[in-house]
Amino acid sequence: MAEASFRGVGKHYDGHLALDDFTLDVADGELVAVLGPSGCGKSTLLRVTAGLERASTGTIHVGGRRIDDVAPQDRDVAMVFQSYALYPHLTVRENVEFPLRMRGIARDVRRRRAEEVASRLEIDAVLDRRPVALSGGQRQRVALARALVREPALFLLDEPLSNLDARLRASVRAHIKALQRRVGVTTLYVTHDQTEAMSLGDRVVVLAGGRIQQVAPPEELYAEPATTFVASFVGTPGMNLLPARRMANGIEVVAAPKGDLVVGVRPEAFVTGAVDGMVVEIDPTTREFLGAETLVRGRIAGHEVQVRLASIVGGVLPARVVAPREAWHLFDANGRRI
Amino acid sequence: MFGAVVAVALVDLVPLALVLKQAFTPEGESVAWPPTWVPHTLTLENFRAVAAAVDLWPALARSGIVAVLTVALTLALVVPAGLVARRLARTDRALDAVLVLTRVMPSIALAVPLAALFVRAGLYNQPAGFGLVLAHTLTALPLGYLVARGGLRAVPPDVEEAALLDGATPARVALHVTLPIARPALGAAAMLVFLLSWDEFAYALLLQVTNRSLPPLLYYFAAFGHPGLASAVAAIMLGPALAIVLVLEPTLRGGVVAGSGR
Repeated sequence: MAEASFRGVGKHYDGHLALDDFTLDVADGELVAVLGPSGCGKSTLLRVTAGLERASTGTIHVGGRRIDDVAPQDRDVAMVFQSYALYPHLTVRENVEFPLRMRGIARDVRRRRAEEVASRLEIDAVLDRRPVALSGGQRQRVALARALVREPALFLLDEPLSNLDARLRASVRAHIKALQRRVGVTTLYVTHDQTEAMSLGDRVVVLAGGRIQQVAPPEELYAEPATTFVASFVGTPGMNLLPARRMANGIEVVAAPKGDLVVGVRPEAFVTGAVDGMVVEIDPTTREFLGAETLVRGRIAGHEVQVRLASIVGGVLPARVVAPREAWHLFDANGRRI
Repeated sequence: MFGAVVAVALVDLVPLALVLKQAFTPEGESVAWPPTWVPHTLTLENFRAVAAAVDLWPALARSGIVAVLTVALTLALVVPAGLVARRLARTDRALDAVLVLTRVMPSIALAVPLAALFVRAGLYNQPAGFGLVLAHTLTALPLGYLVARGGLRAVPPDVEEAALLDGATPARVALHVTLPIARPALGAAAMLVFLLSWDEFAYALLLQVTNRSLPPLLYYFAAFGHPGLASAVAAIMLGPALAIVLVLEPTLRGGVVAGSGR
């Protein structure tokens, strides 16, 4: 149990920058989700934190102790690998006991703690099986148990849900959240899935091209994205981003590929009725029925726009919808929020 | 298709059966024409004759000691080398090239300078066959290395990294994770190296002139016209060879890597 602090952590490989000037403070017991597309540097961040690779620059402290120059086995950092990385030659019990065994903890203590964590993760029935005889969900829980059994100071999760099927994912996601709360372990959770990041994280770090785009609680990330990248990456689908120009009578979307600013409108921010704002013509042939909501595409100044409307059973789509001025997000030409 | 399986098995087994038949029948019967497929008389006279003519037991012991020590020394060299080289492409390629070099010459050609060297070092005709162990290790290294490295390379890197994060030092990662997972390949390497040493003839003939191991004995009996005695030695050699195959065979079962991931 400890707080973690990253100061200017960077990693480059032969001139290629994988992670640049990563600075972040994680509170004791906090779950920070690190979100970004593949190649954004999130895996590098985990590997550097775990000690599997050396940082090129910067320092990492966990619980007040500097760890970036410490060997991985002495860092008190546990990690759940995307592939789970279970020991195939050992039983589930031996897998879970392994970190305790490597720390020279007595056999009976080892046994008790392994059984405790196994029952909490509901794998106590398979303790004497080998990993090969387990289902994907069970393997995933064994990997979690192995990481949690020694109560690490910092807990790293690398895309832990990516190998599970969609139905299992939601339940395991809830399970991980509840477990992390109960154990109270400081956690970095790496994912490319914004739903996972938003639903799990106390705060979310959005990474792109090795750089931090924004650090914020999920609500703030959604309501006030700091950059156009965050705006388009967060949300299903992401925010519509339209080139615009400042005119005498206000801001107007322009046909040109680049304006002097960018207007962002979330697909769910459009309304019907007589309000002032950005008017979008709906193309009814693009209708995608999603249940409670319907997704359609519209057009404004030659740009395609995604629109999410509440479904009206048997209803007719409106010919046009409006994004009121207060729903607009403004970004400068460099993509920064104004 | 099944006929092919039978053919392969027969090509393999018929000579073996003939050797065993010759070993246990009087010498006269082994050269009879037409050959007797089912032996008429079973006898141990060939074995008694071998035991009377040469020091059979010391030769058997020497062959065994040399083979076991060759396996131990070869594994002691190839396992650390494989652990280091398996994920360093350049080191790996260099080592491959060096190892292949030792196999481009026939062992007889290498035996002469080795014999000269061993005379100076007190290893020539050494009673326990220590010189022969070195020569056999030289021969077995490429084979042992290729087989062991293949197994070590197949160990998933993230499983080893997981062990590191679980608090294991690099040495304990190798001991508790890498080597157990690579066990089938290491077992195969041990078996192949044992058989290579057990059957090796040229170095055994040239480096152990009086303190002999089994293969040269077999050669002398055959060369001096005693097919029955030669077959008896061959039958004696078959026992430990089969035993080692049967002992190591269960460790060769694959699938140890399965189940580590997804």
